[in-house]
Amino acid sequence: MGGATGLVLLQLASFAVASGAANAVACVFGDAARTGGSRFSAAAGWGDSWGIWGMFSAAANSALTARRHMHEFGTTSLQLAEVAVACRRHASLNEAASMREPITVEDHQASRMVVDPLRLLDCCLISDGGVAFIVTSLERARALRRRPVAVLGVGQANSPETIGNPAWWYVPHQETAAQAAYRMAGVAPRDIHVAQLYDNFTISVIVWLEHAGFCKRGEGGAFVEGGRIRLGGALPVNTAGGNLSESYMQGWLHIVEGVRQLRGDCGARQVPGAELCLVTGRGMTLNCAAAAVLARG
Amino acid sequence: MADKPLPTITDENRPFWEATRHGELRLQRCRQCDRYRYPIAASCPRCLSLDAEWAAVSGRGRVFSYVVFHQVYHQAFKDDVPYNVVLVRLDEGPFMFSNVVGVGNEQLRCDMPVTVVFERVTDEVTLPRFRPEDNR
Repeated sequence: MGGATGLVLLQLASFAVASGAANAVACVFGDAARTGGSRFSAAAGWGDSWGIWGMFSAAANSALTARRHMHEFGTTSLQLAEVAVACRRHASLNEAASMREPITVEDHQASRMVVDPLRLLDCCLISDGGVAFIVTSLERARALRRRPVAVLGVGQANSPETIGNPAWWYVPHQETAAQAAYRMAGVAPRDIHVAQLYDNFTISVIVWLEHAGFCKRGEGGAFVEGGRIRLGGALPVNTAGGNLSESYMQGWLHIVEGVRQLRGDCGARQVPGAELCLVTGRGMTLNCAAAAVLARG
Repeated sequence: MADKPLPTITDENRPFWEATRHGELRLQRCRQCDRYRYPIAASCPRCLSLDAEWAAVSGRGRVFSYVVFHQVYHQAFKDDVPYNVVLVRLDEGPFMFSNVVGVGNEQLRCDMPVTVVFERVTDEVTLPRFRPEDNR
């Protein structure tokens, strides 16, 4: 399920613990995409490959989304840049992040085109690494040394279709996944203090802001302006640097950062008083989406 | 250098590629709910009926979205960059990936009207591409 996998496993593990099928579940991820030379360049397709028309790579799917979003809503490359700049600023405060040198909007605009309208600094990293988290009952977690973090709500939604669905470009099932997580948690977007939104490309953060209810459809570009998603802004997003600047662990580190923020472990990048965090993931050819609401235990 | 990808002709997609070879765009149309569909599939994604016919479409549509590749992801496209890939919405409803020819990439726009053209690639394969259509 690509970048939705970590959250989907969090959901399965939570259900396994809640049902009594397991006492504790370790969810583990590892990848050596950088060493392996992966470029995430494969052509998707259904029957005939899209490569017939030169349509390759994960970047191109999101570039199509970005272009249509720009056309329908007036979203701009400068707004995409705000996402990249915010993530890098946050990574600069994270000693474990891969890319810590701050960047500006001008740096973003000067970076080379990859798949127009996406530039190099719109794209996530390609990384080696591993991530693990352990899910157990809140009762058991409260008996452990570290402050527990509660899984208040989880949701996933998937679409089997790509271009057969006229709304595919906008990944509408993301909204379904986020709403399911909110509903289970009994909270609303306005209750969320910090968000870790899947950022394979900058446009994905803008679309997630809309689907997760932080703004209306089409308003994600305007939302990221004025430092709103930076630390100190109304909704700090991807406080460790995200896939764009921390490391591309396919969304698994978004879960880890949610836990760290809610434990108050984040030092210079800590969101003061963070009690509720939304984490989202998205994978495959825009097909799989998942979301979770985490709470300070 | 690797060749550009070509469709693998199968019993399921043969009518599509036979039609393009003869300068015609044909898509599956569901006999149950009358919808045209693409990608090619055994069943209708809306009503699940297996009953379909191959029907000619107008070949006209609009560019729903487009991208321009600068990165070379496949060596066979090395000399083509920057090249466009468009998602066309046909007047009959379905979306197709393709390329717009006969116009600079900088002139591409979402919702611009286009009409199909056929470009022979091999004896077996003729690709449907699109050119801008004026006066719509």
